[in-house]
Amino acid sequence: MSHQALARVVMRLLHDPQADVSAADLSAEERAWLSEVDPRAWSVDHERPARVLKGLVDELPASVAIATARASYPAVLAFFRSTWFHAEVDHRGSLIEGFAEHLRELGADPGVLGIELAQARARRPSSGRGLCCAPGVAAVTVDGSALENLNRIERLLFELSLFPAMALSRERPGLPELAPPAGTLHLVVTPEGLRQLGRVVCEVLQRLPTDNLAGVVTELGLPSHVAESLEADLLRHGLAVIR
Amino acid sequence: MFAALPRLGVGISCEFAGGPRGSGLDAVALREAWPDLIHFLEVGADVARGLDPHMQRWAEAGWPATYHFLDLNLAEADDLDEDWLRATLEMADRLGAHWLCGDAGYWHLGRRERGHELLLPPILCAPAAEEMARAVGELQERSGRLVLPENPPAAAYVGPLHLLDFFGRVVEAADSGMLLDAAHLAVFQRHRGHDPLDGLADFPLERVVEVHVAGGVVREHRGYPWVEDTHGPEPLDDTWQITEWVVEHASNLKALVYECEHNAAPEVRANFERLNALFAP
Repeated sequence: MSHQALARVVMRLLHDPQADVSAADLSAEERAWLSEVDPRAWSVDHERPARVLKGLVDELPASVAIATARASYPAVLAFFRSTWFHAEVDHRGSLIEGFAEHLRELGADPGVLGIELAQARARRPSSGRGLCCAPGVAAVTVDGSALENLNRIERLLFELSLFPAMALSRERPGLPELAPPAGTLHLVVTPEGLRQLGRVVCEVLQRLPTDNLAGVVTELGLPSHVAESLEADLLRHGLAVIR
Repeated sequence: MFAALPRLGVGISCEFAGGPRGSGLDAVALREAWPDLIHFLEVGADVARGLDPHMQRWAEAGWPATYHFLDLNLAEADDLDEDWLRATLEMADRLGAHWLCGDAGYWHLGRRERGHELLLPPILCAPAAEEMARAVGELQERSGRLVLPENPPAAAYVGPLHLLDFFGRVVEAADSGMLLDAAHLAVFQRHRGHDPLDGLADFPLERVVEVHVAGGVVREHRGYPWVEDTHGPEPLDDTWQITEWVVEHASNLKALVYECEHNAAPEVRANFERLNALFAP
């Protein structure tokens, strides 16, 4: 599968033409093929990273807003030069996971980011086996202020969407003050929307997929015999499936 | 295998929300205005966004269509999954698509996610051709549809094989048809310093079921010459030369698509007339 490693190097160079790819697992022959390409070819489409960023921003809009306000737009765009980007491409991972880590480093609110990332995960198919989250389901435990903060940022983004040119004016709205920490929220993303559920259900869902639910509940400090009824409840309420 | 396929004639391509963007063409309106020039629609879609209202209107009219995916990495044999296949076939069925096709390379970085639109060709080497052939064969088998891999565009190609050698190996091993994009081939030939028709005589032309024609622009980036696949109104001379040669020699050619969805109707009419003169339905 070495040609796949070479393809991933090409993907990295197209988004980060200055990337150091000397550590990539390539044969001497493949390195020769790569060296035959004029390095200027990697940067002909300078809008390519911004187009990929658009898709990522669509999924984590409030977190991007906070990170942009606290850092800068170039700092957000620097995702493509980050180890997060290169690692996700190299390992055929999920860009949204790497982008979330990048935003976390730029100061995105952990609660807001947690909710948006759970929503993004719920949109993706689960690849696991055993007891898995049902399609469209993901869980997250966040600070009690997270939902209120998400609402405040979404309101700001909505206002900006009504009149985007507002962002060019001196009177443009700034990042609203975020609410102070307040307890803990156990949230589950479902196809019908966000639901607040109990701690155990939420934390179990975050540990799926598993083929050892008894072990999971034991980790959470509960007796293992709870697993049987818990699994039945998760299946009955459409929060989990068995694959 | 190909003889039973319908001859679709000259078609137009579309992408998600291409019509409502203002200057883009409304394929339904254009078909109604020019019924003798536009005979089918090639729908470019992905499972994340589905079919837009224009595509749905075309489907409701019952006119011929083909389905062009924008979200499957045919360069990776394990990219095909059941969720993608089910959603894609639902759309293809709704359109009454005669076959599935799409640029055969990489559409996404890492796992499938919305919005990447990478459009990267495979590494042009023998193991990559073998893997793509497996992917095409599996898609044909699981979908029960004819699959036409398309040669993608690029500013640079990596690997020792000629593009036509690579795709010739793919379609022979997969026992599939081929969507030969004449504009993309012209890009490759210039990049490698070949003449437009180099390699075509050795390609299994009987497998070419569909040809794409599109406008391109020669650009320079810090002194590096490259061709941007703009889908503007005017194809390069190289693209016309390839198209005319392939139409003459591809015995099972069924469809000729003019990818011009971003342009105004008056800009593209003459080329639709030229293509119909070349390949009448």
